[in-house]
Amino acid sequence: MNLREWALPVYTILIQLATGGLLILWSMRAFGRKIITRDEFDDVAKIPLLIIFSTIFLAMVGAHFHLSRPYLSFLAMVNVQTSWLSREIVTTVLLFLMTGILLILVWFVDRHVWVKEVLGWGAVLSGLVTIFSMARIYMLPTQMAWNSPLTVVSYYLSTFLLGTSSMAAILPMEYNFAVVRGSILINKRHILVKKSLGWITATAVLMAILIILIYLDQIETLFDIDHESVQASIQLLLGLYRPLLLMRMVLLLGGAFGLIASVWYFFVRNKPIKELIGYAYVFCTLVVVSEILGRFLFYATHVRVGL
Amino acid sequence: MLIIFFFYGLSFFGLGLAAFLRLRQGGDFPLSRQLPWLAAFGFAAGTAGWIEMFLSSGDQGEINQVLNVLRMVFQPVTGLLLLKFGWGILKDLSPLPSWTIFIPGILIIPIAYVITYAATTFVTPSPIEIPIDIWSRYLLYLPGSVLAGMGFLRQWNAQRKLGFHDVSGLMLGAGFAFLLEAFVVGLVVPAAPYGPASYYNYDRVFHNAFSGEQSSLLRAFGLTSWLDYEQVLRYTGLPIEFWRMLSTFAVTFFVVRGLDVFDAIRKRELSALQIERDTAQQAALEVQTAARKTAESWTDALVSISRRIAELEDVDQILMYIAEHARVLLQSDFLGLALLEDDRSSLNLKCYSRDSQTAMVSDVIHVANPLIMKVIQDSQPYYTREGGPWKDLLGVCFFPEDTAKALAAVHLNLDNNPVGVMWITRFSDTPYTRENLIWLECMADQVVITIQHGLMTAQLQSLSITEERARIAREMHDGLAQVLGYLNLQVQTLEALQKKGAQEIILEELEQMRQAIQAAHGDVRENILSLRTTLANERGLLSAIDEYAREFGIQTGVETDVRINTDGGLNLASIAEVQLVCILQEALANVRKHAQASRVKVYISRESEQDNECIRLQIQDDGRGFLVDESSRRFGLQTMRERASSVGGALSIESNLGQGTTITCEIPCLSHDQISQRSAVLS
Repeated sequence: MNLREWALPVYTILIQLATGGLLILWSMRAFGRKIITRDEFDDVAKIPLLIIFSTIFLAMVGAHFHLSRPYLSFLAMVNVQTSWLSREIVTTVLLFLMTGILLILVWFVDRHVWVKEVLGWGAVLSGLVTIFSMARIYMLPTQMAWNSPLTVVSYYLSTFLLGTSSMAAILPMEYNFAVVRGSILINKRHILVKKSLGWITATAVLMAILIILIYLDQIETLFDIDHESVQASIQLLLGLYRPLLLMRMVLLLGGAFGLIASVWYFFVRNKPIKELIGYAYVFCTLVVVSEILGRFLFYATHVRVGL
Repeated sequence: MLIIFFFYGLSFFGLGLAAFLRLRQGGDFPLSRQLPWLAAFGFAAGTAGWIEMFLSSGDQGEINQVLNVLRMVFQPVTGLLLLKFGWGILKDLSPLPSWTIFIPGILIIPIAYVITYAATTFVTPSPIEIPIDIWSRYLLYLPGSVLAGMGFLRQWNAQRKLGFHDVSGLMLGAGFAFLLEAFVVGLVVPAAPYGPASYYNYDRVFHNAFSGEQSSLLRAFGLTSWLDYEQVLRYTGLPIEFWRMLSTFAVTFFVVRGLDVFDAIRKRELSALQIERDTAQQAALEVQTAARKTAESWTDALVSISRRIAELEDVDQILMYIAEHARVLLQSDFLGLALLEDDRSSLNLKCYSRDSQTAMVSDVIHVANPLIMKVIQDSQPYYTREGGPWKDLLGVCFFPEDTAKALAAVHLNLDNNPVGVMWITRFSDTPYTRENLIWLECMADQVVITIQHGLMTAQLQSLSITEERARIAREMHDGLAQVLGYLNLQVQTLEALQKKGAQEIILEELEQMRQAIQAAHGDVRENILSLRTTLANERGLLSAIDEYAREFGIQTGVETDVRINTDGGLNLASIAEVQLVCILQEALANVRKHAQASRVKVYISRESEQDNECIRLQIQDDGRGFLVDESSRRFGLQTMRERASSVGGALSIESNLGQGTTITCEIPCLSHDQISQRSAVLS
């Protein structure tokens, strides 16, 4: 296993996952005020926030495996005015710090509702800037297969897809845990989870469809570019890596549609949320695998122009 | 190698068969929900083993290609079934801590990365069956075996704590067998040009999926180089397939034995449950029996008290009866009953009951205990709780040798006024309960009823005597006094006639005087007879009626014929019996005074129409008779009608001048329910 190459998909996917998850969680907090107050929402957010923070931490640790000298990683931040890489790292650190403070406040401090509100959205913003910087890194004239605004768009779509899919898996688990430990907010949680899962999975399906459309558009665009490096990328994607490309598409659609189908089936049949956990987990895994595969293909099929 | 693969497949097939047979038997033992997966895994793994056997025979051809495809299908399927079984057995045998629900969630990213990495290895130059084999082992068989092993080890721990050592030993064996299986089947994989297999495989060529390049000989950790097939053969002298076969034997042996033992556990649990149920039923029965006996005892006591009150027993006797029974039923050592003086100045002991005696108190003994005084002052019952104020109980039993350690006291309420206190004490530490207090209140109510009944009886007796005296005075005034006055006038008339010498007129006057004296004599004798006729004598109503009628015949000279046909008692209400006698007396009095009859017949019979029964009283004389239309003006007949109707009966009169008179009275009997109720009370 080549750790240095795999460190990149680890970092990018995990940051997208964390940012997307935080965005969905804080959207639930904002839009679910009629169901559950912001104070009460802290109890719902505790475990998802812990998972999100752990994910950011793992992403930052994983990124160091990409470096020849990990102990000098902090030097990457000094070129923040000129380098998208530096900006990516700075905003990642901001995301980490804000999520960490938010986590402490949510777990241990009952007051400061507005501080939590601002910190949450600040962390989301940091994450989105990180992803923008992340995508801009690859928009280089020397890497013609990547040098397109659609790269940024597809990175954001992946972020939203990963966020919605991961929350679709985490929310039923968190709800069942609340049931087991006898939470007094269980009725409100039930309504919140039920309503949220509806729009979360619908968003996931929309994102999956958009990702595939953009992917096809990108491939078609690459066909039109008469350049050796681009054609080499096309050959790799549709030649050696065609099984993986197909697998990615199938898993992406299967995972997203599986999520919305299972949620719809369970709520129409009025089945307990506990039984949804296994299905949500499997379909979420399919989506994550498809996204990692997509990231793998992204890195594996680029052909640099020149040396 | 053929034999090894044969036994490998046979062993797993046997495992599948055993699980399938156990599944068909049904049951509710811990493994039952996972049996379908175990059976499917056994059959699939057995089939995969036999496919390996055919493939290892070395024959080439199309059949081998088919078998190779089948192996590529069965390997992941087998691993998937084992993973499902392992997860199920870990989760179902005993509940996992609630936080473990997040473990799959936390592992979602690592799992997704491993799956993705595995997917990329399919584009390496190695044959496709190699990554299928390797990743079936790594991703499915290895975690499946580990989960199953952990599940059985958890069960071992649970059974060991329960003391089921035979079961726990088998669970331990199954757990280690699955962990061994995880090692020899899930971890030792064929050669492959990518990690992690490449780290310890003899074919150490690494393929970079990102760049598509190959590099030679990678020794990442070195320590694991002995995990490859060749190293196993070199160090143990036996191929990895042999160790896999041994591991399979161990899994099959322990799991199949475990299936039987789980059944034994179930039977053992059922037996324990039956014993527990029997014990609980026995205890419940004993409690019910004790409760029923208590209720019966209380019911007997209350019925007995009511009967004594109804039979007008002496009030003191009833109070002593209540005191003794209340003390015994409430498992007390002393009971005291005190009443307030009329001026309410002091509370005096009236009755007590203790182990050796129950008696009324004639001497004046003041009750001054503060707890008892508080009960009557507050009109609230009281009982000492556990560890109550023992010092306040000093002297509450009035006997120096009796030391009370528990007290319950209730006030006696007469017309919403407290008139006394009844209390019970125990010499032991056993405190009274709220239920005891309720029963004591019930007995206090009986005491109050007894006192009320005694007072009412005394008042009634006094009233009856007054009424009877008034009646006798009225009778004497209307009857004997009038006659005596008349005789006085007649004597004065006789004196005057004597002076005039009117002898014949004197004789006529004397004749009238004689008749008046005879009439007065008859009235007096009848009154005496009526006074003597009571319903409360020992012989009963019918005997009294019979005696009265015969005495009537003797006194009046009217031939009296009494016929009674009632088949036993009259079954009349008490008040109806009184009215019946009064009607008979009035009718016979009319016969004597007005009918000039020589013969009178009295018939008493039971008549029944449908379900209604009644007593018919008929008085028939052969006297001069009268016109019934004019009878409404007669006060005596009207009274007789009112008496009959007051008890739901009816009275009819048939008479004509010179043809005698027949009076018929019908009074309804008590219903069967009313009779049985009365019998129960009286018994």
